Amino acid sequence: MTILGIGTSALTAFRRSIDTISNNIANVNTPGYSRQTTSLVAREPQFVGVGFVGRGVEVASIERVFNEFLTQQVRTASSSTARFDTLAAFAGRVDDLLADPAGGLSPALSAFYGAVQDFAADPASPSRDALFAETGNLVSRFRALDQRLNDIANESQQALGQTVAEINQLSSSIARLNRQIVEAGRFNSANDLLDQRDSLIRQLAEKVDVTVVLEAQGNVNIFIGNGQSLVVNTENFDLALQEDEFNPTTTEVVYVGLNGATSIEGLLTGGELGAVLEFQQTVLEPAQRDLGAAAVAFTTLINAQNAQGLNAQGELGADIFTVGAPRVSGSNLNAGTATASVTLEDVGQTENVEYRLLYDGVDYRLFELGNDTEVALTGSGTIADPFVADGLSIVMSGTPVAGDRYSIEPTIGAVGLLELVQRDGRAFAAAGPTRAEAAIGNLSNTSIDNGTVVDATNADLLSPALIAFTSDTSYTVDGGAPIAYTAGDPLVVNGVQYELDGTPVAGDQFQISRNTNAEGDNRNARLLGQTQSTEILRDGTISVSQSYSELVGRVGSQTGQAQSGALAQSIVLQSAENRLLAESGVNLDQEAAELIRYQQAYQAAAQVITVGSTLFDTLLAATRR
Amino acid sequence: MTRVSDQSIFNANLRAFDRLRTSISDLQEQIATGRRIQRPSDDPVGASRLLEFRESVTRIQQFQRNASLAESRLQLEEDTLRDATNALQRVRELVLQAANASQSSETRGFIAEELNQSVEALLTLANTRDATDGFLFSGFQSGQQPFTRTVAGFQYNGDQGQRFLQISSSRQVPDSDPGDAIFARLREGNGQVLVTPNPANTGTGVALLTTTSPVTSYNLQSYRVEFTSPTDYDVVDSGGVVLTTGVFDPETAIDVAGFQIELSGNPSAGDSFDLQPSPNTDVFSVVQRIADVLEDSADSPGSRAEVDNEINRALGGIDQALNQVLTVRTKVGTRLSAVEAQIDTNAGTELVLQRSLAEIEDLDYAEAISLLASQTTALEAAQQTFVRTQSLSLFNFLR
Repeated sequence: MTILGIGTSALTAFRRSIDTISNNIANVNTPGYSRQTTSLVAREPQFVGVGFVGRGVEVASIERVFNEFLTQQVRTASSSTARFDTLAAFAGRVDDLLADPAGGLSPALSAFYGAVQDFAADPASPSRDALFAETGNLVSRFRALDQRLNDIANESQQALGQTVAEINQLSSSIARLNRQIVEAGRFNSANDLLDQRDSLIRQLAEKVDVTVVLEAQGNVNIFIGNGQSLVVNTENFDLALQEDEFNPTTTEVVYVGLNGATSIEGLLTGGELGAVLEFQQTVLEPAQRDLGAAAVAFTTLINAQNAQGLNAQGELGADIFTVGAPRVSGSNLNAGTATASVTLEDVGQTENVEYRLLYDGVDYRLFELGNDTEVALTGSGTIADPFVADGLSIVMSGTPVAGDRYSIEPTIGAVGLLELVQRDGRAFAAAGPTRAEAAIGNLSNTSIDNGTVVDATNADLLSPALIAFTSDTSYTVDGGAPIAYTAGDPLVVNGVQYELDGTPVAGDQFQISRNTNAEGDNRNARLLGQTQSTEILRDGTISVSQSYSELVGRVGSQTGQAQSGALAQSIVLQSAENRLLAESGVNLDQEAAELIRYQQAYQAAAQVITVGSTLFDTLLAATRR
Repeated sequence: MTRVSDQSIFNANLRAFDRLRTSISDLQEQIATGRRIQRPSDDPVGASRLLEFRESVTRIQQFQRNASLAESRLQLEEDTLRDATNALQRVRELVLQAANASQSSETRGFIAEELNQSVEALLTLANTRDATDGFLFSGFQSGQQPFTRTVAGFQYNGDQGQRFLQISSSRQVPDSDPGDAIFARLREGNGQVLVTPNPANTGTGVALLTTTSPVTSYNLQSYRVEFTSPTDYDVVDSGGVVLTTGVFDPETAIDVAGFQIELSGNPSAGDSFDLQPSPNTDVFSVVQRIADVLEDSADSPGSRAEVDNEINRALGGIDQALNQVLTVRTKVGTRLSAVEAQIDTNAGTELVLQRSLAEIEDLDYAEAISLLASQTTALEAAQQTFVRTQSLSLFNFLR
C-alpha cells in the first residue's frame, strides 16, 4: 500500500511541477511575469519500530521568484525613462518648429530688414510695396510660430487629460487587485495577481512619481505629491482637471481627496505627467514669452522710428503694428472687487516669468512665479502714480481683500494680437521730418545740415522756423528771445537738432521747413534699418534677432538634454530590468532541462507503481491455491 | 554565474536594432541634406550661432547691393560733373575769345549764340535723371526738377538734402550732392569780394581784381573807388568817409581793404568802382549774363569798356564755378574709391563668414559615410547573431 501511495504522491508532485514549468514556458513572453517554482518536500515519515519510513513527496508551495528591491529599481527607472522620453518628445516638437531654416523667425526678420535697406537705397521706387509685402510676411511668420506653439500647448494639455484618466484607471485597478490579493490570503500566494499588480504599479510610476508601501496583509498603499493617497487598501482617489484659477480657458490638475478638490499641480513630478508639466513650465511658456517679447520689442522699435519721419503722403508716420497688451487676470477666488490694468512700458526690463500680484491686506506685492522672488514696487497704483516694476506699469482700481491674487503675463499674448494696421507701403516713413537751408544772402559760407530728431514728441516737430543770427554768438528763432550760440554746438529747434558747419556771422539766416515732396530722402528709412541691431531686450543687451537665436539655442539644449537623459535612463532601465529578469525571467533552456528532469522522475514514479503492482501480483500468485 | 532570461536576450537585441536603425536614419538624413545640424538639439550652440552668421551674411550681401547702387549713382554723378567741367572750360575759352580786341560786335554776337547754347547744355546736365528717373541733383526732392529758368532768373527748386547709403554696418556714403552746392551758391568775383563799375561811368576804365587768395582781415563791408579827376581817386567806405586818396597809375594796383584792383583804360572824373562782399549767384546766370552783354554790345569805346568789365566779372564767376564743380568731383572721386574699397572688404568678410558658416553647418562627408558603413555593418552583425542565438534552444533536441 505504501509503495503505491509513495508512487502516487510522486506522480502528483511531478505532475504539479511539470504544470508549473509549462506555465513558465507559456509565459516566456509575458511582460511582468515572474518565473514560478514548485517547492517539493518529503512527506512526514511513518514510524515503523526500527525507524522512519518515508511516505513520499508533496508540493509545499508554488512561489514566484521575486525581488522587491529590484522591482523597486525597475519602477524608479521606468518613471525616469518615461519622464525623459515624454519631455524629449514634447521639447522635440518645439525644437523641430524652430529648426526649419526657412520657417523660423530669423529668415523673415532678415528679409524684412533687407527690404528696409532696399527701401532706404531708393525710397521713391516700388521698394515701398516690396517692404510692405515683407512686413506682412514677417507678421504671418510671428503669428504662425505663435499658433504652432499654442497648438503644442493644447496638445500638451490634452496629454495631461489623458494621463490623468490613465492614472485614475490604473489606481482603481490596483485597488481592485488589492482586494483580490487580500481575499486570496497570505498563505495562498496569488502569484499571477501579484505580478499583475506589480505591472500596474510600474505603469502608474511611468505616469507620475509614486511612493509604494506594502502592507502586512498583502495590499499596497500608493501616495503621490507630498503624501496624497492615491490607493489606500481597496479604495482609490482620483486626479482631475479643473478650470484654472486665473485662466478659464485652461485647466489645472487637482486632487479629489476626502476634503474635495485641491490643487496639486505644483507637487507632481516625474513620469509622463510630471514631464508634461515640466515641459509647459520650462520649455513651452518661456518660448512663448520670448517670442512675445521679440514681437513687442520689434513693433515698438519700428513704430517709434516710423513716427520720427514723414511717410509717402508727407505726414508723420503712424503706427505700423499693434501688438497684444500684457495678459492680466484676477483669481476666481478673489473676494475683493479690485481689478488691475497693466501696461508694458519697457519690454527690455521684464523677466521671462509669470508675475503674481498679491494683496496682503496692507500692500500690493509682486512676485516672480517659479523662483518666488519678490519684485520691489514703486508708486502707489493710481493712474497718476502707477506701480512700476520690471518695465511694467500697474494701475489698481476697486477695493481689494487680503489674499486677492492676480496673474500677469507681460508678453505671452502679444503675438496673438499682432496686427499689421496699415494698408500699403505708403505708411512707411522714409524721409526726415524737416530740412534746413542757409539763406542765399548769408555773408558767411556756413552750411546747416538737415537735422536729426531728438524729441519725436515735440508738438511743433514739423513747424517751419527761421534761425537768425543777431551776432556771432547769439541767434533768435522766429524772432524770439536771443539764444547764446557757442561755436561748434548744435542748435535744437522744435525737437530737431541741427549742426552748423562754418562760422556764422550776424545777419546769417537759416530756414527750417517741413520736408515736403522729399521722395528721395531716406534718413528715416536708414534709421529704420539700423533698428536691426538695436539692443533692446534683456536690459538692452541683445537685439530682437539675437533673442530669437538665443531662444533656438535654449530650446535646442533643453531638447538635447532631455534626449540624452532619455538615453541614459533607458540604459539604467535596461540594466535594472536585466537584473530583475536574471532572477525572475524565464529561461527556456532551464525550463527544458527541468522538464526533462521531471519527465524522467515522472516516468520513474510510474515505474514505482508498476513495481508496486508487480509485487502485489507476486503476493497474490504466491497465495493462490 | 548570472541567469539570462529569454526576454532580456530578446529585448537587448530589439534595443540594439532600434538604436542602430535610428543612428543609420539620422546619418542618412545628414548625408541627404549635407547638413550636420538637422535640428537645434543636434548642436544648440552651433544652431544659435548659425542663425547669427546667416543674418550677418544676409546683411553683408545687402550692403554689397547698396554699395553697387552707390557706385553706379556716383559714377553717373562723376560723368555728369566731368561733362559740366568740359562745358565750363569751353565757356571760359569763348569768353576769353570775346575779350580779344579784334572782335567786332558781330563776331561777339556769334560767341553769344554759342554761350546761349552752353547755358542750355549746363541746364540739361544739372537736371540729369538717374536710372529710376529721379533727378540726381535735387536733394531730397527727387521728383522735382532742380533748376528752372524763370522771369527773375534761374531758380533752384531742390533742397540741400543728401541721401546716404549704408555700405557697411558702420559706414554710410552720400550717393549724390544737392544741385545748388554744385551749380549755384556761387560767390562771384574772387569768392570773397566782387568789383563792379558804376553803370553811370562815362570813362573807359576797366577794373580787374587780382587778389585771388582770401583776405582774412576783410570785414564784409562795401567800399568804393571814386575818381575825383581822371588822375585822382579816393577810397571811401560805405559811410562815405574817405579812407585813402591816390594818384591813378595803370601800372600800380589800387589797394582797397587789402584787395588789389588793377585799373586800365581812362576813367573820367566822377566814375566809380564798387567793391562789395561777393553776392550769391549760379553758373547759369553767370554765363547767361555775359552772353546777353556780348549780344547787346556795340563797337564804341564806352561799350568796349563795359564789355571788358563784364568779361572780367564773368571770368571770375566761371573760375569760381569750375572750382566748385572740381571740389565736388574730388569728393565724388573719394567716395567712389571708398565704396570700391568697401566692396572688397565686404566681399572678404562675406567669404570669412561663409567659411565659418560651412564649418558649423556642413557635414563632414568622409566621417559621416564611414560612420554609416560601420553602423550598417554593426546592424548586419546584430541581425545575424540574433537569428543564430534564437535557434539555440534545448527544445530543438527534445524529440
